[in-house]
Amino acid sequence: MDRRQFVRAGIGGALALAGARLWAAPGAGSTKLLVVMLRGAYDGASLLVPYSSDFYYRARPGIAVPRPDSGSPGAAIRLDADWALNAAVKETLYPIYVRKQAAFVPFCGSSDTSRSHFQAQDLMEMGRREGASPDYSSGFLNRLVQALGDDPRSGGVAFTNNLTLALKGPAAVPNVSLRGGARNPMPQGEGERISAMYQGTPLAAVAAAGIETRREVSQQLAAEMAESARGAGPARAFESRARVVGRLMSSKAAYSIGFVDVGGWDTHVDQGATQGALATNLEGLAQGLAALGEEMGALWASTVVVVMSEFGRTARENGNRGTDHGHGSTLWVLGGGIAGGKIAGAQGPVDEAHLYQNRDLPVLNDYRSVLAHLFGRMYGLDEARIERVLPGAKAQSYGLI
Amino acid sequence: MPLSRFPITMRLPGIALGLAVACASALADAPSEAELRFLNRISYGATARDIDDYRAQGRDAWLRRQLAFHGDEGLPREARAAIAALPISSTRPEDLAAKVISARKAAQGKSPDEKREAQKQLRREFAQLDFQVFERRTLRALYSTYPLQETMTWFWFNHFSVFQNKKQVRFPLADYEESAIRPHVLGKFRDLLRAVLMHPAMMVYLDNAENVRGKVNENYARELMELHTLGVDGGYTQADVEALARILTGAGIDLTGRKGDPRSGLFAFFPERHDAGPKTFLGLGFPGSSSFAEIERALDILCRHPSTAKFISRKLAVYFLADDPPAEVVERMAVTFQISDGDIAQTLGMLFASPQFADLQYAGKKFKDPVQWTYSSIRLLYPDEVLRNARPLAGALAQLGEPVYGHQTPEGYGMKSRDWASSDQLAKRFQLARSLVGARARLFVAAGAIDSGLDDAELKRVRQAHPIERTRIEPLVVPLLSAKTRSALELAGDPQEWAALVLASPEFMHR
Repeated sequence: MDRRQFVRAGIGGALALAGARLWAAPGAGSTKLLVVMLRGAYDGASLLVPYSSDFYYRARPGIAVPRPDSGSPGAAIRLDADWALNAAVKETLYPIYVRKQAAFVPFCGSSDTSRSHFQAQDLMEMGRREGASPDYSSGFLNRLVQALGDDPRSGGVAFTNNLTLALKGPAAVPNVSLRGGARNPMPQGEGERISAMYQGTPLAAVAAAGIETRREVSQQLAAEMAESARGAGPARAFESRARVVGRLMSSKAAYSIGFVDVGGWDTHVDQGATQGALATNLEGLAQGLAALGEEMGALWASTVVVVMSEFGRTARENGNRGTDHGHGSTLWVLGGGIAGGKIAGAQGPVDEAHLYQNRDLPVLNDYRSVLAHLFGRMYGLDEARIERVLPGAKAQSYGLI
Repeated sequence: MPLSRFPITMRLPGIALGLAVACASALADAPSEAELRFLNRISYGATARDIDDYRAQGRDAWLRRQLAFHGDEGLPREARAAIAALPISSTRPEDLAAKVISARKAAQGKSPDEKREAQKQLRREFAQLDFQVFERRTLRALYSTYPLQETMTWFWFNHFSVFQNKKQVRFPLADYEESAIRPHVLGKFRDLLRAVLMHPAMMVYLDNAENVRGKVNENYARELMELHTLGVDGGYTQADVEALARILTGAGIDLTGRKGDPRSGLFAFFPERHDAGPKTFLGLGFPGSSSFAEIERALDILCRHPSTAKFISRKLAVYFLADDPPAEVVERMAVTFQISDGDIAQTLGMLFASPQFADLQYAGKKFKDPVQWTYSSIRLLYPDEVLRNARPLAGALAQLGEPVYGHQTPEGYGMKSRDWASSDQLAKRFQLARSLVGARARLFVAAGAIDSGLDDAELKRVRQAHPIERTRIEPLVVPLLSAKTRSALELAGDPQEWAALVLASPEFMHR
């Protein structure tokens, strides 16, 4: 049995149950958090389909995902009396949900109403109080790293080409670009000379982290990228990145709080339903997250993956069988030890009368409050520390952990 | 403007031969810190030739000339010849579109396999287009004696960013940079905005080609206000986005280049697809008409809006002066922008004349983006011989996260420290610093020759023909280096190691 087979067996088996006991045990050094940001505002209503809503089908004559009982080849997969999953993720995300290792929070998002991708993404990564003006000095994951202090689970890492805003701030956090490439090791003397030049400058810690990460990770990364990308087409691009993220996070104790982003969700034109551009993206994403779960191995039981996007899209399709910028979206929570297999948070009817500005699905669940719930349970953070990480986030249980 | 109207000998009497690229210019006196700081921020890094020009003409005259657009007049002959030889220089978007149309016609009635093969053929043909645009831009950025127009080309292309891999953006890309962006980089903002709107690259990229009466797509309308003119806090509402989207209905493309009124290249405005109903946009009534005049009026309103003056002025100040530029500078620039009816050169002139731009406390604080770092490295190390192969530079930019014409979303690349100064970025630059020095032979051998396999002896010969000239380079950087950097440099074993450390130094990361 090779490593991957073993891992796959482990996920489905007893490890999932054992996971529940690992939470909030400081010093365990094993809690892993990965935030996956879908940049461009993905259409949550095409992933988690409100199939009991007649309005949904009226509003989207060209792109609605067919009802579970419709007998259509692209019929959605029924999750409960109101919600169903896009068939594009049937082989990947749905089995995880069945194992109760995935949950969804619909009507979720931030209070920002600019409908600007760039402002909404920035504000989301900052994670500041509702209505607060933009403050680029720190992101919520950096504040989480700080709040955990000496806790061995506090090491942050951004798997982004540049350090993402969520991890920027007073705590020095490295980034590891997954756009690797073979790299020669840097000669010892050169590293020392470069460090000496940076000593005392504002970039001293950043340069040192770069040299250090390079020494520790780059060789491994180059090899992993080459291996995991073997034979992968563009649709599988995220899967190969996700595997590398999984391997690095599971093998390095210092990589405990991670962030990765995925683009290509701004489907103004021809977004499709069970097939098409959006379905392909969703399939690739779900495939990647399933692969990440495999790569986390035994640590999957104490891993939480949060998938979120800056805002949702319009409830009605536009003139080009696409959707425009909206408001409420659907957040995903995945992990071997979560209380999944459910649709969590406040819900309302999906109909004309309950749209936000007669246009979008409303936000009934503040994404910050969902994160506060998760962080509180994962790390045993008290209210004061939660307040430092996500100021003003309403403490409430979503029953996810 | 034809070259003959500005003979090079007139431009620089006495040192006219300095322009011949093979003849390296040497400085009579070492440049001062102030000279370097000034030129490093306006150009992609001061070369000895820039300093000569600057001294010969005097600051005011030099700046005045920089603030006008000169096309390829300031390029050495070899660079102009290299640009002329690029296929994009003799191909219009219309020609490429005609190929697409005839390929489609030819495919009719063919089997799916044959169709796929034909498509593949076409893709291969278009695959190099974006790289050629990069080669052209690189030659200009590295060798023009008008460096400001080249940094401004980056600035405005980035402001009106399009992504080469979206739909058919790739084939009007070369023309977009050449005809829509470049002629206006130092002209009137209104002309620039109109040229961008009336270009197929933008129409396709932000989906306005699909924005028609009764089937409104608000993508371009939103970005036109949020990113191109007013800024996200510029005082517009969702209702304004929807109104502007309706105003923009009917503006799109026609691949035959024969339809539309008005039309321009592949851009076409289709009155029959335009929503001629009445609208209210930014508080102003549009009675409704099916002519392009509605769009012209909306552009007038946007260009004269005080938010636009402020947004554009601030962005220019962020690019050239500081991540958080002083409000009084932005304010003065915005006033200039407004009273000059959006004159970019005058607005920039106000910035360069400001006491803050001369104040050394603002200098050396801007973290270079990957393009600035890469181009300034080449300008420092190899200013005198025209590059034969831009591929290593495109590779460097891809590694550093600023791939050529590769920004997927319309806000363009960031221009602040926080966008670039990460640990991975620095580690990659340290690595690239070594390869730009050690593997320099690849820059001076045509890509084709490298592909067909050069032997090591040949590469060595080319490398030796391009030595690292420490004594020539020193005056251009040493005045900017800290004591710590200088002492680290003293430990360098040879000129190559020395140069790689210079490129990796904290001072060279900034401008």
